[in-house]
Amino acid sequence: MTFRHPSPTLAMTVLCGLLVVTGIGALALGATGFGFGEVFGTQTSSSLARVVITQIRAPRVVFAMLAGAALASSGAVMQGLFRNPLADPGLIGVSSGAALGAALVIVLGLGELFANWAVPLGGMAGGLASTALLYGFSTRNGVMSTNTVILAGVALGAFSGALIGILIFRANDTALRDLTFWTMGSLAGATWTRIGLLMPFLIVAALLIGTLATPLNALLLGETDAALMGYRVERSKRLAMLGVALATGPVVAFAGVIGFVGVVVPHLVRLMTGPDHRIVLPCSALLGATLLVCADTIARVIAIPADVPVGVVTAAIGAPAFVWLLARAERPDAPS
Amino acid sequence: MTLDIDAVSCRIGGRLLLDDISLRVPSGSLVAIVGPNGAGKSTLLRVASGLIPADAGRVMLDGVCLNDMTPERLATRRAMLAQDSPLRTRFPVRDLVRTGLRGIPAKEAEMLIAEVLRRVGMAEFVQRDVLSLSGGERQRVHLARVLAQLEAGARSDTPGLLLLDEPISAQDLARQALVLDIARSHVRRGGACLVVLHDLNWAASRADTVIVLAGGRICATGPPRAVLTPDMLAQTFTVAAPRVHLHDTTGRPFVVPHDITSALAAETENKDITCISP
Repeated sequence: MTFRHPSPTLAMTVLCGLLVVTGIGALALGATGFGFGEVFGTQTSSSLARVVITQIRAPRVVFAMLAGAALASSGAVMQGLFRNPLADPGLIGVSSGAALGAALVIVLGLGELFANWAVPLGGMAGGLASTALLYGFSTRNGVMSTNTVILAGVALGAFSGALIGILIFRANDTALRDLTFWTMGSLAGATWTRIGLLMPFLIVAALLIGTLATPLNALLLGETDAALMGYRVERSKRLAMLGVALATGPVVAFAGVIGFVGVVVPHLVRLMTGPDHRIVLPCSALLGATLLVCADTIARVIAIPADVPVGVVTAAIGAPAFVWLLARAERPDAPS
Repeated sequence: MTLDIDAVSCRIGGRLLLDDISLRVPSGSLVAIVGPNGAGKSTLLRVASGLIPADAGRVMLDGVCLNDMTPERLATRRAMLAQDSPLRTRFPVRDLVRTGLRGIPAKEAEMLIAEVLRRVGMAEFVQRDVLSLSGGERQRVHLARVLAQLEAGARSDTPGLLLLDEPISAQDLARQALVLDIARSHVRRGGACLVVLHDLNWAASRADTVIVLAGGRICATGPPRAVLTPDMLAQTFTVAAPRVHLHDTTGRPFVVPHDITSALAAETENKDITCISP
């Protein structure tokens, strides 16, 4: 079986083009029905159109791009680090911890504190605290056991789920609705201010993750071989967890739990480009951004005037597409 | 490149796996470690590589303690082929070999990859998926990666230390010779090689020094002819009546694990063949 992949430059150019086209399309589509001309200034824009485009659609599209890129590249890091195709950013407890943090804020009725920042702040704190807890639990004498991370991550997720269950039991109707919506994921709350708050986290995470491409390639061969080739395995594992927590925590805190992007996108990219993380990481970010913008646009327009949670769309479209792709990739005559 | 292991002991999970081991692998020398299963051979190799720290004693490369070398520097001076690899991802052969190369210009890396793959007899597999290869082919691709790592390190230095843990376990007869000839060629160019082998005859025919390890201690060390004696084999490997012949041309020992003549006689008399306890 030989490899026939497009060149990295071609793959990245195509994905960049796709992202631009998707972004323009997403700006043009929405509940208010402005046409392309109004959106892109060939006709005189009304002030309403300008407000809708610049203050509602544009931040939402940008937020979807950033969130999709963060979740997908984090998923690629996790799958490489754990050498496990089912790994996703949630594995290190970010999602479950963030869900618990947000649920606490919602159910205790603190949601309107700090000018409505309490839920995302609670989510962020919960996500980062839970990752730190998992790291501490899985590390002995400076060596982090990836197996323990996986198993403890599952246990932590179940425990967080139980605590959220208790909170749901205690919640009133309003809190229950907020909580349900949050756990299904939604980009409806995207604003330029929130994007501004998200950016520092994502920039630091991108810098960290950017240094991991070559070590992750070596780690595919196992920790022993990576160490023998001179890679600082423990440092790479710590940086990977930190990068993923910084990329995913704030996204989950603002947008809730958006499933499937972190698992599916790296798979799709590897089918296209092969396993080299120097290509998989940037391509995952680009494809993740594109797919989440698509999913969010569908979420916005599929049930106008209602706004369907984007997590529902990613799962509904992602799951069958993923199964079809896997079945196709496993065929003996399929190109790698 | 000279490896010095000085009074090294290693305890893992409460078990003493290496007990006061001292040995030297000088430049231009191939040293084989043999011994029964669980003797501590792989542990010794892992300690020699710096992968696991010794509880006592020192491991030095050219007089420099491994603890005083950065991981990056160490990787240019020694490379190790482990017994197996947990690789589960589809990976082109070329990219797998490339992981052993760091800081090499792309063009030079391509030439080096082609060269090491040719040496291990895998040149035509450069585009293949590693997971689609047989166990023996996969083992040789990993050997190519290890050789590439050492070659890259030797660009600005002398040839380094090659550590091989059962490198012929998955190879057919011709490829067993190929792999050990590659090791010999490395030491001929001034490198050093420490190899764990189960096949005593390959150890006898290719090694300059044979070290017999049992229960975490060195039982015997020296040239193959001095070490591979019937008494030593009977005691260390608990095999029945081992016979040691000498090769007509090289004078190196050749081991038959049990006495074929007595085995046939025992079979004729319908007797069981039992192992002799040391």
